[in-house]
Amino acid sequence: MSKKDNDIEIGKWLSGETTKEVLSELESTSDIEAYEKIVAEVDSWSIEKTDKRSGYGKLKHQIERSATKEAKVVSFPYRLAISIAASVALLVISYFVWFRSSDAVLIETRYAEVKEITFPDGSDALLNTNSSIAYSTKTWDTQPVIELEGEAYFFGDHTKDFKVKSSKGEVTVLGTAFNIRSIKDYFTVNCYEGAVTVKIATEDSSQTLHEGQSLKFYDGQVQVDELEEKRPLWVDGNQTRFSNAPVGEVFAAIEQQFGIKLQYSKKIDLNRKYSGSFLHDNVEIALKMVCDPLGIKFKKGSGESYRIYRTRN
Amino acid sequence: MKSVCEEENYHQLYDDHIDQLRNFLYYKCGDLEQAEDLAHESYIRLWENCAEVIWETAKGFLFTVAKRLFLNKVSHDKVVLSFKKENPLKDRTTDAQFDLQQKEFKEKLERAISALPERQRQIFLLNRIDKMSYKEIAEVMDISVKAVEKSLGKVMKKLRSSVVELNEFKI
Repeated sequence: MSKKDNDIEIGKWLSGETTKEVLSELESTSDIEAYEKIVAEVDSWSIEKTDKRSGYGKLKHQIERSATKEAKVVSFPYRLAISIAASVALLVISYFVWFRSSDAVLIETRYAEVKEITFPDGSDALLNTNSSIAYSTKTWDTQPVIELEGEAYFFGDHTKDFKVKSSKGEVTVLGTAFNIRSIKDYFTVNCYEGAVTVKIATEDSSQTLHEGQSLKFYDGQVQVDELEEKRPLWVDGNQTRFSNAPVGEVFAAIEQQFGIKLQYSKKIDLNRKYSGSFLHDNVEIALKMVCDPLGIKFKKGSGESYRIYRTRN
Repeated sequence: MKSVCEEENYHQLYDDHIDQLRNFLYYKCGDLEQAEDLAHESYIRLWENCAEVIWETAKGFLFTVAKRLFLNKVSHDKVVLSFKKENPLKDRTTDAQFDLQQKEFKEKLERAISALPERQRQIFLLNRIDKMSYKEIAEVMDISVKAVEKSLGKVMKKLRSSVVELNEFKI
């Protein structure tokens, strides 16, 4: 019997599914005795139980508090390691928080969460999952600039010079509804109403995008296509749509949506084009929707990871 | 169908899973207080999303959110876990030498467990300390029952070899 099966048999023995007699065919008596001693020892251990009554009271209090506070103000990092380096960082951060906390607004979304945000000019945005938006109320009147990571749909009447920045580029609004997705190396701007000006961080010139147009930037290239939908599909329903997008961007969006990690075998061409959508209900269905038409396969790896690969022929 | 947004139901979810969720995080980071904070934060997210989360999937939601929060917030270079031990009464009669050996054995084992890869450590402790079935573990860790069995086999072998190195505890 192979070594792998041996591991499984030990696992089965531990739960009582396999008897000691069966295991003794695979393992020496002294090894089994060692296992028994370890298990007996660990089974005599425990951890202090939580105090449920006071814990729940505390939780309720936290919920009430967070409900009254709409937007989360930038705060200290969760926990700082006790080291000199961290102390220095702490000084720098305190300085920042001290001078900026009154005006900095940071809004984040987690797994399975979408938030609606209203900006000081009264315009709105929907922030998709695993994304964040930051802006300053202090400088808003002179420079209405929003920093975005991830994906958001902007709509309503924007103030003049309303600008959204991400690591890949920036979008200046000329009046309107638009969607920005900035994930990994992919930057996509869809303009649903009015017009926007898009400036890619690494390019010198900027480009105006009109209603019904989509701009994609990846792999050093800019590509402009027509949009099929009137609003981003993730806003009304639970799907994300792509038309003529590099499949690498589609996969990056799936990683973002489900909080998973994808690994690609060498034969996968991430610049290949994909048109279609994926549903947000289930990661495997989403992967299937993308992989099937392209004739590629996926397999669950360890933890939250999946491997994307191509079979021969 | 039971709604997560009803406080009575939400409270029940708290009582049913808070210990497991807290321990699940403790086995990852080795810091009880931090584990409890993160567990609470997961419950807050559950409340915020109570309308979208159906009763049957609430537990899975809690563990998934906890995993994500953990990735975002916690740095954990080295984990050091320690446990309470319930001493059986008969130990009163045993000699000091034996007590010392017992204590040392416990510490060695704690160290060996702390040194396990994160997932193996979680699986092993959720099973032994929290008495979770393989099926439950597979669900919260999002892996198969077979992977749980395999990991436990690996854990037992690793722990055995770290224990056997100590000759005085040759069994």
